[in-house]
Amino acid sequence: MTKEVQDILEGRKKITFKFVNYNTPERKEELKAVIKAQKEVLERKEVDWQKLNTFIIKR
Amino acid sequence: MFSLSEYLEKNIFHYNEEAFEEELLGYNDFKTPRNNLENKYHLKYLSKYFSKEEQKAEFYLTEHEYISKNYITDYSNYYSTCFEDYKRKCTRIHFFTFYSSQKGAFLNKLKQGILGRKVIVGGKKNNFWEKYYLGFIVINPIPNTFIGYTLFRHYNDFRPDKLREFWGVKRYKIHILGNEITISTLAFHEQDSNVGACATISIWTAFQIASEDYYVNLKSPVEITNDAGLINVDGQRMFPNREGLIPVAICTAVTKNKLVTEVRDFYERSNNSTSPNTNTYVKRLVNAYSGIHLPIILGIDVPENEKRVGHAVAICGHKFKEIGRKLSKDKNGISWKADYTFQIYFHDDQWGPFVRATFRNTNKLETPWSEVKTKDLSGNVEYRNIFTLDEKGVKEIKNGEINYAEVRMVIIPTFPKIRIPYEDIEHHVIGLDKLIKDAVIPLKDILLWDIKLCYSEDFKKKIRDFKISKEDNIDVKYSLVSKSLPKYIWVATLSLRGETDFISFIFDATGLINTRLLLYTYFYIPGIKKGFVNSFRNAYLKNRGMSEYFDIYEELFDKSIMEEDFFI
Repeated sequence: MTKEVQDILEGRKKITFKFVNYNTPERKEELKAVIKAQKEVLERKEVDWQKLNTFIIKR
Repeated sequence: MFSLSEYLEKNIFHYNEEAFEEELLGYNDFKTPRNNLENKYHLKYLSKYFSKEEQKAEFYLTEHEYISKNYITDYSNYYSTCFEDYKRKCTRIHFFTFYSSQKGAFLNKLKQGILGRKVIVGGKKNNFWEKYYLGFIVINPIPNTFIGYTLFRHYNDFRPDKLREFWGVKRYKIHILGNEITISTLAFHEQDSNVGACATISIWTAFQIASEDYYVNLKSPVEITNDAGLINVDGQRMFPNREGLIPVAICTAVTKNKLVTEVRDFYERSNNSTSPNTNTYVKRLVNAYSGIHLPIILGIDVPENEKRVGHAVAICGHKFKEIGRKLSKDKNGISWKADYTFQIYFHDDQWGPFVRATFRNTNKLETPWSEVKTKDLSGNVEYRNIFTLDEKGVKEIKNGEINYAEVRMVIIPTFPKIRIPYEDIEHHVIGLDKLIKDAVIPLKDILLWDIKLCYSEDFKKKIRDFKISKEDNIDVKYSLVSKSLPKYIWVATLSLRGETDFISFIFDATGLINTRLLLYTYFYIPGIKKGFVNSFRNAYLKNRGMSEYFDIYEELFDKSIMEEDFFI
């Protein structure tokens, strides 16, 4: 285990959470990239069944 | 009637690759022409598997007149109706590793093992079977495709490696010379195109684990092929099968056995897409579904001289590379443990059990099928199978053009109650990653995600056993392990560079689609929760109405308000 992680575990390095305000034009712009990535993840489920059924398992 | 000593003397042989192949002809009741053995990939694979560098086989024991349930089902359905006589009984061959090639020394220890006594090796007492038994092969008395039901211990059983996981395995009972032993493995079987289609064995392999559930049957290859359809894709007969199966037929056979399938295909996406390439996507799916232990069917194109042919294998394990100090990130700037996978292990009915395959670029996979295209001095093109070359040969041809297998599709058998697929969870994690990294900037470069589908009982066990210091926080653990959870859950765990777990987000894998699935958030490090919750609630007011942009934010907040113990 690296010293950095060891320090966190043993409380020598404090972790402070500071959740940010996304309700600003700049932050909303950042979220657009997140939304695009999320949309693409869901699209990956879609199967091109016509192409898929040309794959014949023969060997 | 033989005494035990006479029996062992007659049936124990020193393992030698060439002599063994010669003996196989007899065990196979001389149904296979000698020349056909040369083309059999299994024998090439076995010789490597049992070599000094791998499992180190020293001896084998033959057991004649063995009744294999698997073979006898196909025998009664098919072989018994042939004009030619095929025997009902098989030969089972058990393999052993040993520290010496002295047969006498081995027989001494074996006799002690048969009598249930411990054997002393290097001053330590050992269970003979755990120390030396490698597994068995059943040789079916049919021509050419004679490798029947096979159980071999996997690599981790002898040489544990924390980076390597064999998750598609279970404990099998084996009865040998009056002893009942158990080994951790996954059954293997060679495909016989008389009684099965090409992908039949990959389905049969997946059922091995699923049949632990009482409502899933362990079907024979004939029964599985029958389930795949009445006729083949081109209208031809199913038996003998010459045309192969299409993915939909595989899914039909799986579904008829009361499981369901998640199917993914892989095709080119636009250049500005943030999606991972095919291999990375496969790594994430394999890692995600490994937690329910059902082997995953992988469809690959394998090279065969100038052509490529569709083939199916059953994945049952994978291996990670070391996670370095600097985490690798995907196109969205997120680090995933699954992306560190560099090898998978699968049962390939044309080669053998626990075949290693290494991920190469994009959709390329280096498997025993890999071929090298070389030219001789006269310019004649020759294709050589890389697996059959020794180390020197591999070095010599490294500059040649290598034809790798290519990943085409994946079929994931799952239980019907698992309604939420992997991508729905990754969708949430992309949002969570943004939220958390913006909140703990000093840690953002060491945060690593791992998404896994698992049985809730397995996750509770993990929490119970998790220790980060001598002071174990039993109360916090108890608040999670005492919760009522669905049988299957998705767990998205955020770790600190993979060195210690940090936070787990627990989702209901049995929930309804397009609904809120987050059940609990668990903090592994004491003292983290308070700061997280306080800051999160303070920030919420500023972010009210952001669900259009950030659905996980609203979900997290609503759960934390409605359920007092949502954060654990």
